[in-house]
Amino acid sequence: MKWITERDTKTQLVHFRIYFNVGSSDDPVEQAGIANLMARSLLWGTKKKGQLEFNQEIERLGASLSVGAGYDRTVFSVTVLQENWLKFLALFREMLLEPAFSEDAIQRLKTLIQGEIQSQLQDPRYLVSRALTKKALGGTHYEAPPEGRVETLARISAAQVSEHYRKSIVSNECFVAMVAQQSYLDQTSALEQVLSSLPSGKANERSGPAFGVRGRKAVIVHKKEMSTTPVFFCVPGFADNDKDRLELEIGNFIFGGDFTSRLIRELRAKNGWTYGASSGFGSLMGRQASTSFYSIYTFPSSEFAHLAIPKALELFSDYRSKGLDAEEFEFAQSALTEGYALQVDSSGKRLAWKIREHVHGRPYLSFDQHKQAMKKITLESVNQVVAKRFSLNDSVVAVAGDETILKPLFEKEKFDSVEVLENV
Amino acid sequence: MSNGPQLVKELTLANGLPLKWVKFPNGLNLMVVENRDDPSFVYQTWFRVGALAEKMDERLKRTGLAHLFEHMMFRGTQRFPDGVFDRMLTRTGGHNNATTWNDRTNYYEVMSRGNLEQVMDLEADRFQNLVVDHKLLETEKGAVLGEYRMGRDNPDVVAYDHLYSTAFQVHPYRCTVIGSEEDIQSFSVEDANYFYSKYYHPEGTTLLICGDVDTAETIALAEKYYAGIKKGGVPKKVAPPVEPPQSTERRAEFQHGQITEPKALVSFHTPGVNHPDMPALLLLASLLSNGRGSRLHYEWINKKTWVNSVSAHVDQFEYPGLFTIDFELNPDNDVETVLEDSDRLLHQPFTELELERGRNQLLLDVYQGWEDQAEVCSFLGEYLVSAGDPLYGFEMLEKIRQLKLTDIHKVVGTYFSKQTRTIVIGRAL
Repeated sequence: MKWITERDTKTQLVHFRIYFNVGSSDDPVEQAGIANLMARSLLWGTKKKGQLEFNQEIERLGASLSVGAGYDRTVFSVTVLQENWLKFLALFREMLLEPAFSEDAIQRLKTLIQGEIQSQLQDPRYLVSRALTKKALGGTHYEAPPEGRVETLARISAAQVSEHYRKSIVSNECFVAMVAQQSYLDQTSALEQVLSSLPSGKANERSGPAFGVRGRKAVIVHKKEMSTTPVFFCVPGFADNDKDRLELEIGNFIFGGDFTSRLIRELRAKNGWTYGASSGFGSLMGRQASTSFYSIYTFPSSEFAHLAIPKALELFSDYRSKGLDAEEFEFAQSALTEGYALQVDSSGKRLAWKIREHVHGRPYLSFDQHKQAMKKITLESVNQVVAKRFSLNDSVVAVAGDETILKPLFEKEKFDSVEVLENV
Repeated sequence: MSNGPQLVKELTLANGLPLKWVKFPNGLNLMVVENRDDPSFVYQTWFRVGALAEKMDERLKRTGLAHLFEHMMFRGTQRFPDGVFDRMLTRTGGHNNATTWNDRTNYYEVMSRGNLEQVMDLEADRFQNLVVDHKLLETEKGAVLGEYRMGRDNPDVVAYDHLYSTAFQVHPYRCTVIGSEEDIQSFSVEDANYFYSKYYHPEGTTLLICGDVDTAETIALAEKYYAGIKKGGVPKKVAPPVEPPQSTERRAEFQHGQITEPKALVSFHTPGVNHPDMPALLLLASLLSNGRGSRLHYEWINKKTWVNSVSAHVDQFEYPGLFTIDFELNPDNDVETVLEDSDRLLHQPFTELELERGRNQLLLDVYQGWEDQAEVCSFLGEYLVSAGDPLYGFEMLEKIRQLKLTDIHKVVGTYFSKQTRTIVIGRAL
């Protein structure tokens, strides 16, 4: 079993996460959401303890325990007062080895998750991100969000959840990440014993989300009476361990990755059209080992959407064709080199890097190693990478607002198709 | 009298870190929490002026200036014109921002070690030499209106605006921090300069620095950059009008285009942060909704599936605030049923098991916060401005450890009555 650890000399807590190699991308299409339903139902009681008793016992120990499925992994996250760590493990063992999966609990949990799905759509950013991923990943196992859909959840039975658990939560397909004081890191065998009691099983294989649209497509979620116009724009992205990752990060920093970026300067500081604008590699699906997306997000005041959206697209086109100038390059190189210290300045952050290295293959560098790597990057190499690696031919833009205003805007911008949705 | 800083306090905090607190002759406070474990530091400047002041100020009497002014603090001085402040800090790998709330404004930087003097230079400069430019002010109003409109599209923000404007009839907490669109549009350069000259003084201002810094060196640098700032006089504090007791239930309802299922807030008046009942109210909030084993979470989410989310929380303001239960319904459920049940669940006696569970969940949250340098600073800073004592949070935790069930039941009996509650319900259009 793979262990990834970081020592923290001052913490009064033990933090650990267990990653199992099963996620929503393994869900059967007609049962989208089953991995997440399975994960969350573990907290709904064991064969010995009802839900209230189980959770009260966990929480009286000063522990928090959550379980959820993402696209590719199911993660158990635990924080516990260090003096109660061994007592907690006894309850954790019971949850893993004797889950209840009762019909009644699964039914209630399904109702709850269905309510949460509806609730999330109130968030304008989430709304347009759903519309965009639906378009860009349509027909793939990544089209549905990890929590599934209202209608697919309705089809899942408790017996299917139990069977999914038996097959996918297996000892040989997991790894553990932990932060604690050294004396608690020395006690990992107690947790290893619990995990080794699980059965072994078969590994899931997957390729990760990949941009699947040809041409320039626009999707409008028709919403009247919005004060802002949230808009996501995306093009094919890059794997987290891409060979050009440092060049791409330097470029993105200048284009939209920071508060000093071109996007912010133009859309906010100069024109006051929006409160925020950003671009990045993991905004839509999280960072991935696959190519996934590169995206821009902004939410101009609705009265300025007709100005801000074309300007953002124009800035991206300029960025790709002209790259950075020497001053911008030197600025970004300095900021990212020095700023790396803030990415490795706590045990939790260092652990996150080690997890990323294990999962995505992106090397975890110390501050000095990163500094050396950054020194080797040149303005020319950044501009070559930006020009070569970004394509404007294939893109999707998703926006929420009044279709009568937005549709002509995208037609003018020469998108191949403009689709209007009433909901997602 | 010495011209150097005077020691106010030196101690080891409950999280194990050393704190040194000094005060300069011009009234500026400096607190340094040295933690050499990780190569970064957090730098926070706490001004004891927030949205409350603008509403009590005879000349202003409008909403939103404290927040708009906070934005303008990033738009340049003579020495460091617009954009330079952010670029200089960013170039050295740091990031910065600010927040405005009712009783305070907090500017902060998160930096890698070795950049302390640069931050001090920049912060001390804008403390004294801000230039509010007309054109930049007009552009910044656009950004602030963008922030305001982002809030209008969020039904939770709208619900809380309704709550405070309904529960408070005379106290300025009834107004929003961001202000009204009309007020934001109305501010002039003269208003901003007036606010700056009246409220941004060393007296009552505190620098809180936590992380990889040397305490003695930090004090010496603060002396170099801040000790020369002249006293401005502490503006006479105008006490806000006292909110009269609420004697009947109040309700507000609204419709919103983003709402899919009804959401509701039920709220009760509670005392200010310094009141002896505050520890019990904080623990009560944890008993009610912190964790899946909490009373409301279990009853409403897991057992009855009436709601998909619930939280209970209490304001820790300088003046009396609200204790609020916030929930969102699952489809086909009725708000009134949940409201009726809230009264039953609040008044049903708690058990020793619930007390221990709620207390440990609250402690867990606090300990997790202490693992982050910015949160350590905020833990000190928020209590500094609201309670007048940065160490008040530690004191409060000790009191929470000692609380008994009778203390919880006493505050329930004192503050939670159907007659004095305020209810806000948001529904789909």
